[in-house]
Amino acid sequence: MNLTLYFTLGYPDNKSLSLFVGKARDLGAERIELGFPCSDPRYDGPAIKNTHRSALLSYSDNSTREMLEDLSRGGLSVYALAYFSSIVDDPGSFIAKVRDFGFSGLMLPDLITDYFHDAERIIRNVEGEGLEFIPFVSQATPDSVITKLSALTESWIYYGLLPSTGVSLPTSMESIYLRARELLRGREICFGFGIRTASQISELSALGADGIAIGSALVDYLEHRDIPGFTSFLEGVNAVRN
Amino acid sequence: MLKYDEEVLPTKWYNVVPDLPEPLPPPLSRSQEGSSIELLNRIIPREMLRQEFSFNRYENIPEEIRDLYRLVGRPTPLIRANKLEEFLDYRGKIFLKYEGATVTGSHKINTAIPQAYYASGESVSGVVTETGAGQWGTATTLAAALTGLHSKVFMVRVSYDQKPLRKTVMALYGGEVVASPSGETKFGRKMLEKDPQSTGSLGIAISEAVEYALDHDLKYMVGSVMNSVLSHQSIIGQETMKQLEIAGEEPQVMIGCVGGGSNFGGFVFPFISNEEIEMIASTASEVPKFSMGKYDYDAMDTAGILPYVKMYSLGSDFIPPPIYSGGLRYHGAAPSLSILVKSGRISSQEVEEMEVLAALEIFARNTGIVAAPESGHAIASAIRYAKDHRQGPKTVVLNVSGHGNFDLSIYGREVR
Ligand SMILES: Cc1ncc(COP(=O)(O)O)c(C=O)c1O
Repeated sequence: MNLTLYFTLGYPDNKSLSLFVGKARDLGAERIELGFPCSDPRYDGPAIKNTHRSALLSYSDNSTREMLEDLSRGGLSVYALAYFSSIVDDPGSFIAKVRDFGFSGLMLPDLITDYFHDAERIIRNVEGEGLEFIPFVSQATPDSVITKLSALTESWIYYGLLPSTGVSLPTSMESIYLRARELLRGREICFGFGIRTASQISELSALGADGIAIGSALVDYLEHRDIPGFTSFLEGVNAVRN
Repeated sequence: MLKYDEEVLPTKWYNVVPDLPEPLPPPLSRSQEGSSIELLNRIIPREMLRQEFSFNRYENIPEEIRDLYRLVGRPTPLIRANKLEEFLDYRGKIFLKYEGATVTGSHKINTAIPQAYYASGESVSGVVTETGAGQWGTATTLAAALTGLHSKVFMVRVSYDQKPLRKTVMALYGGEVVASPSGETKFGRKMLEKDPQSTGSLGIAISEAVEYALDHDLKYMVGSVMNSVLSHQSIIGQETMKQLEIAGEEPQVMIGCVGGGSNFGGFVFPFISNEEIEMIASTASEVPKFSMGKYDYDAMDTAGILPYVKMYSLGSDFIPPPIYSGGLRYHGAAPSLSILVKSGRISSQEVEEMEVLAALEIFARNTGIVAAPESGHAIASAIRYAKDHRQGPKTVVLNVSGHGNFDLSIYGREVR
């Protein structure tokens, strides 16, 4: 099962973030997702919202470029995440910047939901720049939309288990997994939003899930610049993902 | 159990979200501290929340809940309104689905039962909710009684004064009723301070009920708007589908009234994939949510304790004119329904109170049914449709969401 880790660019500060991301690579994470801070990360829960608030001040293009150069040497895939609402005025130059930085692909978590009628054009723009477009879907994405998105793209797909990151709500992992699997035959699906415990990871792993993404659960370690805590958390995750 | 009833009573609830044309925007938390989405864990039964955020096309209805549905009068009848057709000189057929035939007198019991049932499975002593017209409060108090729970209802002041008999029924079922804004919650006191004569609104009453649930460790019963509620109501449409099939009829036009959208969604959503069917949502001109409202994120309650959802809304601080149809005074409409109205799949129409009164009278004289004023909007829209399409011969199916036996004071003065 692939492991994707989410970090907000510039949080807790550029230098510490590099250390954490480097550590994540050393501990075998397959993918890193780096979020561009914005003022309204509406689909994020309290923990990640806080990282955006503080990262808006510390974010720097130069540090991002340096970090990407560093990471690409390790053969790790690094994806950019941005709220489309924050780049809506000039998506073209943002997409070009993401490409120039050396990201493998781009995720726009609010694109399909809040800009449904622009989505196809934007996806083609992203792919036209040689970037992978990672569709973000959830249980609230209608079947016809999932089918259309998967026809438009070839990448792996991010599947949000909950309506927001960093919250906990009663779910039935099995029925979610089966529905996602059936609609996205042959595609690699990475499940995220609300994953923090070993039992959730084991359950997804037992179901045969291809990948998981973890974000909110890392924020505490980042906030306290707690590399040892982060390391043992990831070792725990590694022990239950096969 | 009659064989017919057994065949008609659904075994599953249907959720329209997987079949929407566009993704359903998720609820948002706007609270400064923590997440208002996570807050729902404290006031909504687990199974209800699971259904709310699972969006499975079908959920099995537990047999215990089907038993309770039978007890309260399901399936409800589908009636051919041939006298009305004659009166209107309409060449097509008109059918009415009569939700007023449940023991509480409206569709509201369809979701009150599962919610109370799930609450009773958790260690809570009671449930709390708001009511506009009194129909939802009545359904809540009965569902609570049937599942062994205490119930408390915040009733919008204007209805509390207009409909004293509703209070009597709720008390008969064991419920405790207070007028909202009340002095029992912080939010209610704040509203009373601002305007001691406040006639209240559903948004305020919801805020009071939610606050009361949080402070007293009770479960909050959701009357409309949320996905899970519209799914529970899908038994209306599914029964109608089966009944039409047995009668050998195909629906071509479906009409219902919209407050929060639960009876309408429950009625039409099971038919949504049939593109041939025209669907008309009838609202009050006095609460013009689809024509004057904005499609954007807004609060479900005036205090903004609950998550924000994307819907057509007149603003959560909208204080509606005191029209008699309390159930249609809500400021917003269910997110799933809002998407379908925005996309044009469902059309909307507005009817004024005077036209509603006239329609209710025509309806009573040609069907015998004293319909609820909310349902009167759907009836008025159906009459308009029949008048504008006299040559038919389309088959119109109309949802009559409730009876108006407690609303009789609306007549007399206004009706000749
Ligand atoms: C009889 C009746 N019809 C309709 C409504 C409107 O609610 P909804 O749109 O959720 O069905 C109400 C709500 O109180 C009602 O009592």
